[in-house]
Amino acid sequence: MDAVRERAEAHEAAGVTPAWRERLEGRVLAPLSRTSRVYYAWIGFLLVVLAWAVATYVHQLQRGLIVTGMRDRISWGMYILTFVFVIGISHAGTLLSAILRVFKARWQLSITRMAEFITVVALMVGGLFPLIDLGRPDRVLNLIFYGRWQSPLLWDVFAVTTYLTGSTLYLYLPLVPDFALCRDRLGKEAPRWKRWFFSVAAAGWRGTPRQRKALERAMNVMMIVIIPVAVSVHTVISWIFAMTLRAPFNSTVFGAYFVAGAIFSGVAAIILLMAVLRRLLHLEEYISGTQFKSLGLVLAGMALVMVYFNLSEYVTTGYKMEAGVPFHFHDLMVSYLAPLFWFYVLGGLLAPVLIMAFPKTRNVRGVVVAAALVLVAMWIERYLIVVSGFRVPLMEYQARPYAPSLTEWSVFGGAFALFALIISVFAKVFPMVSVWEVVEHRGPEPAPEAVPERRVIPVPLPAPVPETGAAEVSES
Amino acid sequence: MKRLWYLAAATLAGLALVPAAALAQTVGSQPTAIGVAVAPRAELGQEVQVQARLVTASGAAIPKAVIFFTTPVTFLNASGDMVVAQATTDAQGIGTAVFQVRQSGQVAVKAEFRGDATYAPAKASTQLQVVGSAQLYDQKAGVHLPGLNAPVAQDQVGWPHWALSGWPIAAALMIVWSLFGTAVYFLTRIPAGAGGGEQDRGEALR
Repeated sequence: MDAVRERAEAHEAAGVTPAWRERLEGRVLAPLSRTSRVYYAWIGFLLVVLAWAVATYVHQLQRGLIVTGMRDRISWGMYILTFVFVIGISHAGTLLSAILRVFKARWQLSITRMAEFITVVALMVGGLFPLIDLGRPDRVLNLIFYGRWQSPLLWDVFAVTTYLTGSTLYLYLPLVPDFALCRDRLGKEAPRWKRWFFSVAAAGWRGTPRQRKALERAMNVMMIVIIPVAVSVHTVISWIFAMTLRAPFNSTVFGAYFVAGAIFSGVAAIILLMAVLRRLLHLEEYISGTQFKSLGLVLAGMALVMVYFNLSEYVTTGYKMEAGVPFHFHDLMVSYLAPLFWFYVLGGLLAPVLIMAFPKTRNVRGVVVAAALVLVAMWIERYLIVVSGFRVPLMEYQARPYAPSLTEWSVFGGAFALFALIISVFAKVFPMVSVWEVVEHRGPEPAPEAVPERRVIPVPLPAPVPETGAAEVSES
Repeated sequence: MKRLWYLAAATLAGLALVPAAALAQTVGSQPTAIGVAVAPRAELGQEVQVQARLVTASGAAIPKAVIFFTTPVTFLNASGDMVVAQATTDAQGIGTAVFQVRQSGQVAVKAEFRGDATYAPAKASTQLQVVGSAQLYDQKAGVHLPGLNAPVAQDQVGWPHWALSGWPIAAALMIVWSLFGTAVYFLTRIPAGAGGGEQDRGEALR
């Protein structure tokens, strides 16, 4: 019983009282047993958007890719750039969670679950885009049957499927004790299928030392292996571009640049999801300003890393000005794509740093605004990479413009509806905060230190001192 | 009329290797006839020899004349004849060249003499049946790894075969997936550990 007693003492030392724990469990498990009408309305709205997207995709299947804005000169567009963007978002979730777990950062324990969910859901949604981009999706298995080892496309298939499998496992492992909690706590409050699901998913968890050891070992393996896998996946995605013979893609830093960009946009996505779920599930006590500020600082730090990569990229290629680069720079900075490029630079790279630099804006609202800006800017950045790369003429022809068609926008909207739908459904089946980790490793948020009230101490008026000298004597 | 010129040219050339011939005349120039011959069938990607004989209307060989060999190509909305080889005729008026066939199906191979101050231009064509579906795209850029994206050279035969194939990538994948398997193994130990040791305050979490 020593281990149990030690744990109990550690909990008490961390301020985990039974009442606090009760409140935490009640708050986190509440959405799993009760559903409001607004929720059903929201799901209905998402299904309508999704149905529209499916209808437009069927139209695309019937008519071919001619219904998109893509043509022979710009053959990658909305679908591929969204694929890169969404896969990028997926990376921060598990990567950030694993890195912070490795370094035992306690502040992040209440948000790891959301981060890991983002990874899995983003991979599920993002993985659809290369298929949507195919004019003949029925031939997708040719990639396996006739795949070539030397093709980055095949590496990409392996990398994404490996990462999805690893991330799902990494999401599931810390869920086991929470499934057991749901099994034991929810009882008849939850529908029968959920009770069955929790019972199976809990894998017989009773919290014995042997079970804890097994879980700890499994998590240790996964948290170590998932970091290089996550890094390698986005590196491989960057190689799809970097190994294509296009002047703007001729870069040796693309791998690291894409990984940094993935973390950057992923952190922004986590912040936004955190803000939404915190408000909807009333998790303010467990996801406080601490998490927002910490992630805001990570965001600002990553913005500076992105500035560094962009400078490194543009200075080296701009210095050499090889064929195609002058056109590319002109296109990007003063011509066709300039509004998007400067929004990316000012809104996506500069604004987050400024927001986090000033104490007045360094709060939850400021961090959420910064995250929203970064998310939009990073989607634009992916747009710039893909479209500007293909706009550089390979022969003596005029560069063609690219604008996504209604079909592409519809599918794009449908993908985000699917993303929101999966998250919304998952939020009703899985606890969105890792209860056991918060209880065991973090405890309640320390109360902010009392700031002494600013008082103006009255200065006593100096007593009149009799004049000793006769400097000025006035007489009337 | 054109057929007559064809017949005349073939007769004048008197060559078994001339399956088709053409004769052209320009006012003020000496009329010429040209015949072209190529093997009737070739594999895609194979190098084939093509010969043409250029003669005057009287059948005299025209030496030191440049013959262009072309095949028709289509790219996007444009189409035309692409020069695949060229040759200079010898004393017998025969020009020989070798070119690689890069399109399958029935390919028209043309021989063209563009004329000069003395001789009028002439053209002739013949058909070549190209079969097969070999991959002809030859990557010049990038790192070429023997066995991975480049053929194994004779001096590399001594290398272990696995090192020159896709196996290194497969091995990296297998390492990652076996680590996933290790985590799953530990996961499967959880149900077995339910009975052993004390339980945390009678509840799953506590």
